[in-house]
Amino acid sequence: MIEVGPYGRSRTAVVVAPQHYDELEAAFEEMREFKDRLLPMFQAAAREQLTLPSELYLLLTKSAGLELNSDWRALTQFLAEHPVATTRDENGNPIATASLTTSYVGELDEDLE
Amino acid sequence: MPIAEPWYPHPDSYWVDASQENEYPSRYGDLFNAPEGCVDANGDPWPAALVLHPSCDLGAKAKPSLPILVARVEPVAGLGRDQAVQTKIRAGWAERDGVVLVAFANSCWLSAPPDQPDIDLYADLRKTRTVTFAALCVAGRRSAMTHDARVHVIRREIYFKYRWKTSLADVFAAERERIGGDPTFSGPRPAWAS
Repeated sequence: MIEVGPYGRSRTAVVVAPQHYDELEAAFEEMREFKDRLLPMFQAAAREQLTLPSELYLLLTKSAGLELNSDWRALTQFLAEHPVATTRDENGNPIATASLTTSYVGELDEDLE
Repeated sequence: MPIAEPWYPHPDSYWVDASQENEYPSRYGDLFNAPEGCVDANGDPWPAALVLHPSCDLGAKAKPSLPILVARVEPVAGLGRDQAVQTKIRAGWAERDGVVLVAFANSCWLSAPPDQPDIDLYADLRKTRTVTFAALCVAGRRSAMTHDARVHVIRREIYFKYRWKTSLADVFAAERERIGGDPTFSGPRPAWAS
């Protein structure tokens, strides 16, 4: 990091290698793409309480050139902290729900051989 | 309004810390090396095994000949390059057209155990074997499941076996009552059952 201060004005500049500058520029472009093109759509959907199917989300992010990286720990942490209600079985049929009422009565301490 | 609950707990809360593992006797949900006889169709040993046997049976009164039910466990990454399949296993659910469905009901995601902290796993509840308690002990335990994670796994197994979705609160309450009524319970108790 270099302090540049002509005429008493201090400025800070960061010197990076050319390949890192390209990476930064690409990341900045991705962020701008997301902010200008996708974020308004997602915000509008959220404002109207519209569910955005993940297929559409993937399609939109892919069309914007955004790559989704896979990180199982981050994903499972997110899933644990932001649960959703599973309402259908694997085939799309309504799911049966059961309430467990407990009253532990113990058991015979022997096995059926 | 259906209650939103995760199928699985936080990844860092799945297994007992290795330094405290000896305080925990073997229980339902513990991860073992594959016992003898747990092999695939081609004769390869399972990567690991998950105990699905009642916890109270595995304590002091367990005989070496006691038959124990175990399920096959393998790394999620072993499912191949299809990222979508791996994600569904890790979530336990999938979203389609705005609807949240159970995904791969026979699967139960397991966070990475302390001895392989970068490799997360899943149990295939459909692939089970019965082994003796002696064979399980010889194979050796890899990791002890936390009480909290056990409740989640029990809930998932109930869904797989009976296709009933139960609330986490109900399973926690049932396990609390079971622990309270088990005179042979040993090792640290979960805060919610003390």
